[in-house]
Amino acid sequence: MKEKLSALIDGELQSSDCQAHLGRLRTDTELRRAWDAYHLIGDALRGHIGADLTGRVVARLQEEPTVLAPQRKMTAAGRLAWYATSAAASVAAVILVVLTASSGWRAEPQFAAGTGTGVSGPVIPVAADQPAIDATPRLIGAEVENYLLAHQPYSHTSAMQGIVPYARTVAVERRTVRK
Amino acid sequence: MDERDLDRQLVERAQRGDKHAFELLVSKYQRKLARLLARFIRDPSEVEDVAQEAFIKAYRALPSFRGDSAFYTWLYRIGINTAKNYLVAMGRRAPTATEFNSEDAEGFEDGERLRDVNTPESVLMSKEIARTVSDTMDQLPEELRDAITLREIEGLSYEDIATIMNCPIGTVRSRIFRAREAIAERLRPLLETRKDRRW
Repeated sequence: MKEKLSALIDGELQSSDCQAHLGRLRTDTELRRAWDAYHLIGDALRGHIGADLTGRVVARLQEEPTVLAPQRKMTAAGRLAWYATSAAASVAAVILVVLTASSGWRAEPQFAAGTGTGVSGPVIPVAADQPAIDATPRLIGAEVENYLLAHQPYSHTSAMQGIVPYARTVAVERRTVRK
Repeated sequence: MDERDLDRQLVERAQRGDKHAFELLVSKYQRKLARLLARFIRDPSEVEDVAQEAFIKAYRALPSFRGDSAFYTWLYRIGINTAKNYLVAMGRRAPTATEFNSEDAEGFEDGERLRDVNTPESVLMSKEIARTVSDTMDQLPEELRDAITLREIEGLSYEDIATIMNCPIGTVRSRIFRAREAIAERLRPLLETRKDRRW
């Protein structure tokens, strides 16, 4: 234990051991004596001999109110890293907002595995004055549309979509009328 | 982790209300600070008073210590300011800014013989401690004496000492510890009789 204290005093102890050892110094009188003695020896070897003021200072400290400072601020390197991360996150957020808000960006429709984008069948042209209410993918073949219309009541999403199933039905019917 | 990191950890503990941590810093730096103050305060008992006051001021000012400089550099400035205020209050000339500046703090080691900062009551004890340390050093095996000399007087790291002594770092650590323990064992009877001991 004292050998670790000796290394701690020299700044040669692993950081992980340091906190535990400083904690022991609070309660272990023998370790505390060694701390004082080792520093006295170092000072004596350097010719720095003088009165031991520790006792007097400790007595004065007992009369002092306990210091409770706010948590230490980050180091300069820590602050720099924090600012860099914040700036990068801000730039990424701005880029995402610009991309999603721009007219050229559109989320790709999601298809179930197996159907993919390679759905066979003719492409249905959509008129320019077509209402925006039609939210179904534009590349759906007539057969698929018919299938979806026929099975819509059994769809698990029907209860969640509210007016959408009805809107889709109307849109398809209008398209059918135009044909 | 170097010595500065150790001081920083002790300061952080003291800032969280651990007075024992600050006592460890007092124990570590008291003689270095007293030696600095003795450069411009002649009376040894006054040096002790000013050093004590400087430590108390440092303790009170702990919340403002941000760790931008080393703890001793910060303590050094407080010590100099306390000494200046003391000398002004006593109607004596305070040291000018050019006589002492904080850049000296880290490497404060002057070759000249400084004034003895002991009070008359402790002169004998201080001489006895110095003699005991010196005698024990002479009696130490050469490898222990070299290891502690390279560390305490030359200020070398364990890695550098290992290179010089051509041995593993673990051996250096063990030799320095054994040297310290041997000297501490010889000092123990003296230290236990000191009036100003707190244990």
